[in-house]
Order: sequence, then structure tokens, then C-alpha cells
Amino acid sequence: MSLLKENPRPTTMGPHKGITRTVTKPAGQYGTAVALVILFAAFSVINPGSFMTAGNVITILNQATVPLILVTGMTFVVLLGSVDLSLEGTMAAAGISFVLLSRNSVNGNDFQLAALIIALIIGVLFGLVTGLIHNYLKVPSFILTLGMWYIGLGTATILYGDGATTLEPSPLVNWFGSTVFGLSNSFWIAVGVFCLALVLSKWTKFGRYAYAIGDSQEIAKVAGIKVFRYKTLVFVFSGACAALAGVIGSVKLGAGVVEVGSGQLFFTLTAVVVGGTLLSGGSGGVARSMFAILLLTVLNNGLVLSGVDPSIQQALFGCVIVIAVVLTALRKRDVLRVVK
Amino acid sequence: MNSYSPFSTSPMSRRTALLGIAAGTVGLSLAGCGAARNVAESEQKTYPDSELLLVSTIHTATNDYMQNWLTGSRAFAKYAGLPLRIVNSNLDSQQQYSQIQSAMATGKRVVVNLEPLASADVPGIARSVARNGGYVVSSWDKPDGIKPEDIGPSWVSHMGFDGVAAGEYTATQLFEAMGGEGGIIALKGVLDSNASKQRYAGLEKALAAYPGISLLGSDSANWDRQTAYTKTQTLLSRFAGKVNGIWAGSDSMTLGAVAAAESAGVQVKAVGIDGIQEALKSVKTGGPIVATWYSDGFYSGMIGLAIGHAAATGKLDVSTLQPAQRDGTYSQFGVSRDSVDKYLKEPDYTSLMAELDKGLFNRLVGGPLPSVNS
Repeated sequence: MSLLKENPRPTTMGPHKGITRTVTKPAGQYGTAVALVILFAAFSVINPGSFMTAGNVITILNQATVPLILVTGMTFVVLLGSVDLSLEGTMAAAGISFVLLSRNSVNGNDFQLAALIIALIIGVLFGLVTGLIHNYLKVPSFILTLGMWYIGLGTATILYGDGATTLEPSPLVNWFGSTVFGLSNSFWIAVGVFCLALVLSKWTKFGRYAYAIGDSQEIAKVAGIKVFRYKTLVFVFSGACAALAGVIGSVKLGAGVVEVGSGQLFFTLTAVVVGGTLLSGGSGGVARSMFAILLLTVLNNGLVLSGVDPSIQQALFGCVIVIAVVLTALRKRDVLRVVK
Repeated sequence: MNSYSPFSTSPMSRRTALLGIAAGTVGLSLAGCGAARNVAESEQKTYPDSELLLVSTIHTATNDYMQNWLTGSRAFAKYAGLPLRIVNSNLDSQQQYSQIQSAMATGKRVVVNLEPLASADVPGIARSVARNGGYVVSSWDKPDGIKPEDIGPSWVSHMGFDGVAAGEYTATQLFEAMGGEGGIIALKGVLDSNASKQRYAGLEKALAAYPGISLLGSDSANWDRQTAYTKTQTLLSRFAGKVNGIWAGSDSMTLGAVAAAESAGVQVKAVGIDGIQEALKSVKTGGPIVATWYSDGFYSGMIGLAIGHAAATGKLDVSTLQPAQRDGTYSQFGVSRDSVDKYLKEPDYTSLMAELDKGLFNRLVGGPLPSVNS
């Protein structure tokens, strides 16, 4: 007892003093948003004529469409303490299915909205299978979703056949591309999905239980939460998001290709981590991930815009990620905290 | 535990065991090297068809050029009546190597039509095939400074293609379509590939001949349609209003770039390389793509196996081959609106056999090209 009295745990987070506390408190909560503003300002200075234009801002927001949808699904999975590596595979399978069912260059299908719904159902099925196997057969999500990734890619490859199927213009496909206030309808769908995710995370059982299960699954179970049900629902949501992203990606490309999701897994996971959602689960949120997606998209856009040599773009991208993560994690720099 | 039990390990015996294993490994690998050197210098061995296995390598099943390559390989397998094993590296050099090795482990002699993922893969695979007693024909890339003769008769031939001519042709067609005036953006393939470097060098040659055209900017899209889409979006934003044409090192990238231009509502003319169906259709219908370069994957997929098979059965005596036949450059074809009809119809078995009948080295046009690596 006297030992505790002599060496009490500090009441503030860690041994921060003075100026660092002034920096780290806002850095933890709004770190990503701050980094985004800084990056935006930096690129505006480097490219006075071309970065801060209406056209470029529209380009950035359009480029953020698919990643934004993906990251909302992924954030919930990471909040659980799990991970969903299958999103590229789900995107491919759903995207190609959508193209094959819509008006296209190889068959006579023209299913419009039904094609979209079927593609979403494919995503839901992927998520359902993942959730059920994860819960009942106790397979860790990392390796399970890795397998589902390849199943998705394989399914897409079989559907691909021996050549890319091109999308022909049709009411639904044209609708995705038409603009409202200068931004494509795909972007507004992404905004809608994000708002839905915000509502889910703050005001529904789905969201609150996701945080609770991520924080401590044992306690959640003892408290009476149907853990398996909500974990499966989270994977289903993530699968549906990936399917929607695959459809939108295919519409943008104008064709069904298996590579529609290439590079998205890395981008999405980076955004989740940079945004401050802990990979161990229980802490973080969709709003942070959204800022992180904007940060990464602005970064990509700014690097190309500034004419940075492609050979060093990747290295620079990595450096900025590291800085952003350090800024976000500054507040959690408790001496006793264990990082692996 | 007493020290005689097989499961006890005293420090002394553990150390001895480890030293023994290390010595054994070194010894075996030295022996292996010696054996390889001997096989490489050996004569051309021939086999009956029953001992042969055809192997054809690709990198991804979702690339139209590679699908064409496979069709060509299957046609030859049908003609020769031999089994065909397809090796899909999935963009992984180690996978390519180990799958070829497992084909060799079936006990048959392999005839490999190799499209390497990276130049550096070729000598290792060639030596491995030589040890098996099989034959390999490589295309596109190989390291500078090493030739088939260095490995022996097992590496029958290397088929190179003139990427500079390809880049120059498509660029010239683009500039003509633009009326000799305007701004273009360029998309390169994987930065470290010879094909990408050669094609870009061709673009630069054409640029020198058209002073009215300016290269606004370039970036790499790694042969990928989706990456090309995103890069083009940003480049169009950066050079808003100034981009009239897009040059890309492959049709896959051109198609992605054209989709991005369409999304942005920008009218452009574009060119690519490879001659895949989608690009050919665009050329035919006067679409944004005005020209491409027919890489003829069908032919390459077929003829590599044909040359290797001829060597394996003795129909072709490798020692009588000209230097250019062992390491040469083969023709490919520029495709514009005037000539597109010839390439739109995909070749079938009969037309491929007709090409085969013209001779194994029918499309050989010269020796190896100078390296683009400085």
C-alpha cells in the first residue's frame, strides 16, 4: 500500500510535461485532421496555380470515393480487433459480376439495379462466410481473410474468362457517372455510406457493441452481448462495402477487370492506422479514418501534381505516413505502454 | 537423460551435429555446381515425343496478351499431340521458378516457352532446365551480357522485340492524329523493365521529330489499368486544358487512361502497345485510341514451343544455328485505322498452323538490339 503512495501513477497520460502536453493533446484527437490541413497548405504553396483549384479539389474527392467506402467497412472490422484482408478479392468478384450482369460487350444481359443488388449480395456472402468460419471454427481473421482474398480473386479470374468485358452505357452506369454540384454520384454514394457508418457507430447497437467487443470480447460476452452475431454482422458490412466499391471501381474503369482493387488493401489499412484506430481494437472511429483517407489521397495527388519523380514517390509517401502515425500516436506514448 | 538416448543433446554433440550438417550442405552445393557446369557443356540430347512435356509461362491469367500467348501454346500442343503445363507466376519470380521445377520433377524432359518476369530470372531457369536435359526458349527480357551460347544447347534461343520501334511508331501515329501540335502526357510501364525503357526511348525519338508537340509530364503506371486511371486523373488535373494526347507503353494502361479522360470530360487521342481486342476495337471505330502495336502473343506463345520442341526431337540442330537465330529480334506490327482489320479477327488453329508452316525463324529480322541500360 505504501509503495503505491510513494510511486503513484501519474494522473495525466504518461510523463508529458509543459509544451509537449499542449501539442500531444490535440494531436491525439485531431492529429489526422491537422496533418491533412498542413499537407493541403504545403501542396498549395508548392503548386500555386494547380493544386487549390476547383477542378483539382473535385479530382481529389473523386479519387477518394472508392477508398472512403472501403475504409468505413474496414474500420468496423479493425475496431473488433480483427482485420479483413479480403477486400481486393471481394471487389474483383463483385465488380466483374456486376459488369457481366449489366449491359456489356460480350453477352445480352442488362439487369440494371438487379445487377447492383446481386453484386452487393456477393459481398454479403463473402462477409457471412468469413464471419461464420471465424466465429464457429475459430480461425483467426488474418489468415481466414487472406484465404478469402484469393478465393475472391480466383472467382473473378474464372468469371473474367479470356478477355476483359467492357461496360456499355446504360441508365444505371450513366447515373453513377453523372454529377451533382460537380461531383459524381459515386462520390455522393460514398458520402452516404460514411454518414450511415457514423450513425451506426454512435447510435446503434451494431456500432457500440463493435467497440465493446474490440475492447474486451470476454467482458462483452459476460455482459450478455451476442458476440458471434455482431462480429458476423461487422464482416458482412465490410463485405458489402467492398462489393459496392468494386462496382463503382468497375464503372469508373468502364470494364470488368480483376485488378480493379489492386493496391486498395494497403491504402485502406494505412488509412485506418494513420487515422488512429488501434489495430488491437476498441478505440478509434470512422471519422478519423475518413480524414486519413483524405490525407492519403491529397498526398498521392499532390506528389504527382508537384512533378515528383515516380521513382521517389513511394519513398516520400512512406515518409509522410510515418510522420503522420508518429503525430497521431504521440499522445499514447505512455512509458508503460507496450508496443509490438 | 543419458547421453546415449537419441533425444538427448549435450552441448558438445549438438555442436558437432551442426558442424556436420553445415559441412554436408557446403559439400553438396559444391558438387551440384560442378555437375551443372558439366551438363551445360554437353551436347544436344534428343528424345522421343513420349518423354517430353511442354511448359508455357505467363504472369497473370487476367491479361489479354497472356491469354493470347496461352492460346498459341495450346495450338502447338494440339498440333504436336503433347501434354502442356501452364505456369502462372502470379507476378512472383520464385513461384515461376518452383513451378518449372515441379514440372521437371514429373520425370519428363521439359520444353519451356519462357516469358520471364524479370531479366534476372532467365539464367537461373536456363541452367535448371539444362540440368534436367530439357530445352528453353526465352522472350522479351534477358540480362545484358549473357547469351544462350553461354549456357549451352539447352537454351536454344532468345527472341527479342524492338520496343523502340514500337514506341516510335505509336508516338508518330499519335502526333499525326494531333496534327503535329499540342501537349501529351506519357505513361511508362514498370520502371525497371527493358520493354518499358525501350518504348519510352522510341517516344523520345518521335518527339525529336515533331517540335510542335510538347511532353507535359510522365509517370509510371506499372502496366496496370487501374493505376493508369488514377495517375491520369491527377495528370489531367495538373495540366488542365493542355492535354490533347496520351501515350502509354501498353494498351492496358491506355485503356485506363482513356477511361479517366472520359470521366473528366476531356477529349484526347491515345495510343497503346500490344494490340489487345479492346484497343483494336477502339482503333476500328475511330475511338480515342488511334493506333497500337500488335505484339502477337498468339505467335510468340506458339513459336517458342515449336523451336524448343524441334531442338528436343533433333529436327533442329542447335549447333548449326546462326548467331541471330540464337539471340535475335523478331518482327511485330504497327496497327492503325488502315491496317486494323487484319488483326481484329483472332487467329484460329488453322491460321496459326499456317504461320508455323512458314518456318521457325520466319519472323526473325536481325540480331540483338543495343541495350537501353546505360
